Amino acid sequence: MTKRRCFARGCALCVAFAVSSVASAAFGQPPAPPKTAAQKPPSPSDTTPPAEPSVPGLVPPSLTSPAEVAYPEGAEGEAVVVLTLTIGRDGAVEDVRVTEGNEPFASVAAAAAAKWQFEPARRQGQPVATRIRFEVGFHPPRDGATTDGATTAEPSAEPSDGAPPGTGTAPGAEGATPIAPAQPTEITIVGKRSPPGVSTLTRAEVRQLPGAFGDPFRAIEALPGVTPIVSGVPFFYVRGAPPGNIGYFLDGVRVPYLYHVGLGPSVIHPAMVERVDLFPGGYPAQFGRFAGGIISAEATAPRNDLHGEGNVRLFDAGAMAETGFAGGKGTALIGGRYSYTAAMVSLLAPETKLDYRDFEARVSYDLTPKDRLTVFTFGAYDLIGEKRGGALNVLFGSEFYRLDTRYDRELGPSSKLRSAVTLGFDRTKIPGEPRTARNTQAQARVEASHTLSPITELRGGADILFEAYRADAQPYVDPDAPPTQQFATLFPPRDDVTLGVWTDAVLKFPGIAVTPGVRADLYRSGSAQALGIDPRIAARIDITDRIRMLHNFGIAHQPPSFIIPVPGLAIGSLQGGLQTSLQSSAGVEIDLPDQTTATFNVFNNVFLNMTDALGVARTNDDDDGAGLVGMRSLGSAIGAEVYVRRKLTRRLGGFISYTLSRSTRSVGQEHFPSAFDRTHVLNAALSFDLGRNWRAGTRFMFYTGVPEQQSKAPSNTFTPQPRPTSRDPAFYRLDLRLEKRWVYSPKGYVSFIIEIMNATLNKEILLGSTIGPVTIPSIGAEVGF
Amino acid sequence: MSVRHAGSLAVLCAALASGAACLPADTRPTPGSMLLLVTSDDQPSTTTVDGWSITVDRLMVGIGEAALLHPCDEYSEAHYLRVLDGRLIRDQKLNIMYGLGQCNFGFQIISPLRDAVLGEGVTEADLERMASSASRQPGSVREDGIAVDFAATATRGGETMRVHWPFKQPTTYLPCARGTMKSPQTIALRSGEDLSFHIGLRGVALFSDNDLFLDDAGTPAPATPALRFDPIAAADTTFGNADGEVTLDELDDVPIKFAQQFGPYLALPGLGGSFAIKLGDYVHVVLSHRLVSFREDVTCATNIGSGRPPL
Repeated sequence: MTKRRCFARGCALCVAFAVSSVASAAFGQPPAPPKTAAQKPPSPSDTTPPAEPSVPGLVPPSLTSPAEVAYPEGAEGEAVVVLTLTIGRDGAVEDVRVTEGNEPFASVAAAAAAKWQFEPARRQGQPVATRIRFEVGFHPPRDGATTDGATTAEPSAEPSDGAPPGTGTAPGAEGATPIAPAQPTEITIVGKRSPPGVSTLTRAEVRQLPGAFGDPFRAIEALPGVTPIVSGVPFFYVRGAPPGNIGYFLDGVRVPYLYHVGLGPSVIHPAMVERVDLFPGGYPAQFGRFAGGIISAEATAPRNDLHGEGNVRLFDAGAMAETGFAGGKGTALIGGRYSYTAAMVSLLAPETKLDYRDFEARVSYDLTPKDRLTVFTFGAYDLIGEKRGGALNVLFGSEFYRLDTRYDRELGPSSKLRSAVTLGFDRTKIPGEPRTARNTQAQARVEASHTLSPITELRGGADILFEAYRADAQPYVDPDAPPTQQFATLFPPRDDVTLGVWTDAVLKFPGIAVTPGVRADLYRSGSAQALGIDPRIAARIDITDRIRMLHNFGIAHQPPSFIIPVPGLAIGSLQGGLQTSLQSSAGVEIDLPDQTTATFNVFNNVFLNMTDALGVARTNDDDDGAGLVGMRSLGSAIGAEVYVRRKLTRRLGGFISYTLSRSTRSVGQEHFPSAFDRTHVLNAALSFDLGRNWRAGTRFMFYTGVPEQQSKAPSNTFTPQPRPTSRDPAFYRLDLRLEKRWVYSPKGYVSFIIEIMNATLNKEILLGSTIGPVTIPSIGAEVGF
Repeated sequence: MSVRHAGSLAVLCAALASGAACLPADTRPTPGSMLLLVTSDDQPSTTTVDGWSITVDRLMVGIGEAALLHPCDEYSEAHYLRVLDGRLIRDQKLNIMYGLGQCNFGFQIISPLRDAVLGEGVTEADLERMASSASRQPGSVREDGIAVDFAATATRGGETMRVHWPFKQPTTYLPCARGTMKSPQTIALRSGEDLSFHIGLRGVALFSDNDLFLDDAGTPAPATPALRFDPIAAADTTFGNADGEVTLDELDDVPIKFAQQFGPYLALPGLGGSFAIKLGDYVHVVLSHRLVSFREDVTCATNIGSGRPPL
């Protein structure tokens, strides 16, 4: 590397950068490696090379373009400006923030840094976006020095003025020596910036959340906007949207349900889940066909170092392992979970059978550095039954399987393409009947993104989904019975086809990022057809570097939905037409001290032609439930959310999540609160590092009761329903968690975990009936390697 | 990717597929079936012993909710009602049930809900008039609605009387077994066997004499009691408003002792006195006993219910 000098108007610039070790931004950390002490910035007299980065396989970014910064005209004295640079996967500087520094030096340094080019950081050979700290030192020109315009100072290996590695002085007329960039000691890996309005949970955080049992999906219930139906039951309302209107995705693959039966864990092993995003409304255009919210999980990125974890608990055991092959080009992962609840339950209730299990497997192979082929399969199985006279009467049985084959290609430094084919099979045993309903599906999808300019990223995609719904004939049922007739009407055998296309653009202006988008879905079910066009827009406005305003608005369409997601069961023939929701929210996000974030949101959702059998149920309904399934209503939900959060992975971490809301329904002339309207929902969690690898946590959940069930007005009358005078009593519960970990290698550990949901053994009153206490104790061990 | 790696992956996938569970199939033995059929036993016109000619103008019945009783209830139940026009039906399917073993069954006559299946000649307006506002939720009582909507015209000489009786009371026929109530026998349902039983509806039976005893001494009544209308007519002409229509309210004003001058309307011994205090009470009891009969050798215990379906 040749030495060159940077000189302008008698000043010189010396650049150096120091970065901090992994703190985990929006994405989870690798499974808990041993903690390393954060590296202090090198002192002037410290020439010891900094420690290796704590992220395995990470190559830090390096500056490739000449750095030119002029000493501000009219300024005087020395100055240091600390910048935080976000470097994209293409090495371009995507964002510059002044962390420290005074004017006019700060503006000059920031303007110059925005034009720099880096070789991007790489992890496992793949470029990753990073955020680094970058110090720019300004030294005034020395007396008598001539200025010949801006020159470029190339960082050199050693400072000539005794400055430590990684820092330097601006080369002036004399004594200025460019410094070679030090090896980074800390790197913050940054992924895509989360869209406005999304709540994200990383697995690292969820592991510490009491009551979640290390399960990212179960932790969703603690987020703002989420209203439980019953404590512990993994179905909930999200900003007024019923469970059947919430979509679940894993790496873009739709999942029919998230949890196993009997208050079981999620159907995906937590070790496979890197993060979970909850979009309570106004979600990006890539998601559609659900008129409520979206829960999207992202699987961990393939790793070619051998690693894994296993756990054994009171009710189940699970494991996951991954390794590389073909010289690091390929990775293979296998995982699963098996419950032995059947054996345990049989000790307490011999006539009852409870069983669940799930599996995951993934193979990825880099055909070239820019081409990756991945095959991902996963599935789950659940069964509750009772034995009668030697035969098993299945009360509930369900299973689903997915096989996703995808091809990812980097078209250029700022363009990506993914094409995928997903096969799926869902099946549910109809409760109490010896027959099953099933859905065989095939989907092809393509997604692409391209950065047109530093301020514009264009994204788009299309997909086609084929679904064949079938159900066995009913052998031992009166075919004239209304429930049988209604079932056949609601869930006829048919072939459905859905075509979708979407596009959006991320427009980044100084201080403002706007994402307008639109998607269109053409639905065909049996002989019925419908088109849904969903415009979306989201905006993030930086008021200051710590305060942001977030806005979301979107329209979403969905075919008629069942009460809760049930594999193989979907209301057919688009009976009653599409549901429509108009979702809007506005909020403020504030970065508080000590890495604490506070978010305040207000929201207003309107639901048209919605199917919400739970929400519209009333005391004297003679529809016997089956008729409620097809009933259409209008709905609205307004509210405010507060979310104050400090990462649970910190020594002392926690959050407070509060939702104040009102959810109503209208059927015909009647207007009434939703059957599961809860005015207040509060979650407060605290996690504390006790030292010596002991960690304790507690979570307090509180919510007010649902309204007393309304009576249906007699037909042919218009009787305004009075406001309910009473509600069920409020409910609260306390979850506790205690973990002791023994670390025996950088990746190896053994943990002993005691966790209990509803340690207070509180009972809940729901619609006048006492439930519980529903409590889940868990004692288990976990091993990581 | 080498062939060896591909082969390893194939083995891995096969292992995964074999480990994936499948929902268990139904292992229960094939049940037998029991089909209930309903037929009208009314004639176009029936003459009573006291010379009245009765024509049934309307006999709408909410009937069904059939079920096999334990231990034969492992398969399915027909928890639904039909609204039938008792004048028109011929071997109309009521319900079909599946079970195995030595079985009893039961069914109800009760006011329908709005999901009732309509029989031949029954309109939505008929259902609307008879439907209860109750629900299927546990504890919901069908005290409103009409279980049996009966209307008839009686003529004698130049005199014409009309009857309109919308009965609200539910009646449960439970248990039903072969033989008599004194010696009931369960019905054997065998695997793959199909049985059927015919229920007859006879509206004019509401004008029956006592079907158990003729007097306080316990003299058995004939198997087919006589039909009598004079006491019914007197409810309007003597105790009512003499408008030519006999209502249930007018029946409730007729003391049973008054009715006894016309025929054997007697107290049932062993029940501590006069069981039927008013003629209206008597007609309600007769309804539960005589409206329904089986062509086969099947008898049912009857319970005049509170409106809460016991099945």
